[in-house]
Amino acid sequence: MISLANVSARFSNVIGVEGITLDIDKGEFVCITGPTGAGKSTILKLLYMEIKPSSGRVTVEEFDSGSITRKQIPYLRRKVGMIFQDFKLLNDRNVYDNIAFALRATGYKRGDVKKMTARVLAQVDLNHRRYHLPDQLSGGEQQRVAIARALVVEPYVILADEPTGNLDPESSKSILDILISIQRQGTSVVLATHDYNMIKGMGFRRIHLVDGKVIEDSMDEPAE
Amino acid sequence: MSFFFSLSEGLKNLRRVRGAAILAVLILSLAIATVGTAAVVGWNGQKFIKFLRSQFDLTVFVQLDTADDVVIQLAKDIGKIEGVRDLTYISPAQAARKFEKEFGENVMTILGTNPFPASFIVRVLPQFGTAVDASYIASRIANLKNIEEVRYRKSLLVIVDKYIKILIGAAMVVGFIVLFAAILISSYTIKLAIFAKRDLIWTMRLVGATDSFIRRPFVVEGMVEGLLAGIVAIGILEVAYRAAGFVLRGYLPLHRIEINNEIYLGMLLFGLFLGWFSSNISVRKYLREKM
Repeated sequence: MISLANVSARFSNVIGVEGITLDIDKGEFVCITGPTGAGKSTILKLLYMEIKPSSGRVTVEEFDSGSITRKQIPYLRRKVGMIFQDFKLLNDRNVYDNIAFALRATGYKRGDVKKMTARVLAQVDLNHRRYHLPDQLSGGEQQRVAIARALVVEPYVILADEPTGNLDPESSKSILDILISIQRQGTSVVLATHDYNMIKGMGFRRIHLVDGKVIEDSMDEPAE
Repeated sequence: MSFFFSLSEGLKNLRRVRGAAILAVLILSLAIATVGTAAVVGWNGQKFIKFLRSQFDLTVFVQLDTADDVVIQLAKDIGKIEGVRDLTYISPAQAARKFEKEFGENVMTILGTNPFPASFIVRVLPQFGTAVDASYIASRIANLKNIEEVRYRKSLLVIVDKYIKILIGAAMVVGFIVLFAAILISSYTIKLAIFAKRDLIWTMRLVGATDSFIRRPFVVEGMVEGLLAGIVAIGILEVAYRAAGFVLRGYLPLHRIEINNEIYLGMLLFGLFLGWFSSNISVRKYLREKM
């Protein structure tokens, strides 16, 4: 269960978000839409506790922004997979090592690292690219590596911040398809995008933000 | 897994940012070489002071006409005093011969009698060669029966003690400054190396690595750099010592200045410590700032 209860976040007199209240259930696919500067990324940052709310309370599973300690944040991050517009891959490591890194850095055993990395590589269809460096991949492939890295630790929720922002329509669609398949397997997905058309008609829950406030929280009608 | 991960990541980091690592090793090695030089100067200075103190002695004159068995007992009593290393007995006849050798006159011919009393040259242990200890030993001897006089170069000892205090004070200040500078320089150097790997740190945090887990590869890297810097610093010191010996031969008795293996071992350990300490401090600070 993820919830934001009357959450506001201010950055030196600039309002990031204000009075946000929402709940996200397990396995739900939620799209946060809105123009640039509306507060979409701020909500994601609040969820992975990169920032703490100025007021209100953020809860992700058993972690509460009001009581979480600095030492507990890594354990929260293991339940929250993050994907960014600029991929944020380690360019000096190949695809396999980029994904396995998430497991190694959180203390998984060597055998488990191999097994879990291979499984997720197959899931994002990148087995044939496992020994390539990020620079040798297309933007879409790099984003798939980033998804695999987020997914490999079997998180409770995937937070995707404009994951298709740097991609062509075809790659964007393939990324969206992967996110949908992740959601169908029971993992919540929170997708922040300024491009409503990309998700329009897919039947997702849409939270529309303007100037840091929720203007609309509705279920998108699936297209015929 | 976590140990091997830290070790392999630490070693890989060295390879990945080779330039920064080489720079860190060079700067650290200069800092360690400076500390090593201070240690060589300090150690040899201490050795010289010990030598000076070991040369110190007291001359003890026994009252004239003291019986031989009493003189023997006196020698035993003096030998038992704390701080006395050994003593040499000089009989009146030996003293007269010494006088004749030094001044060319036979005192018996001039005076018709031998005016020299029996005496002892008393040498003290090096650690008792201070003005305070010498005064204590001299007063203990003077208090013995049949002792006429105890002489020693008190003023010289006072001067030596005074300069040693100044030297130790100066060495401690210089040593502290050098040590502080070495830690500061190495912290900044390692901080630069850490900054070069900010993406790696960011990703580790992103995937949920704990701060202590993130720190470990950097600490391994810092310790390897410190160890390498220690080896380079030993090379620098050895080359500088040999070069100085070659250039200054005939001017300074450099052959008397020793660099022992303990100093080299100390430099290696200091390098390890410097790498561990600096990397620990730098990563902690970086992680705190970026939280």
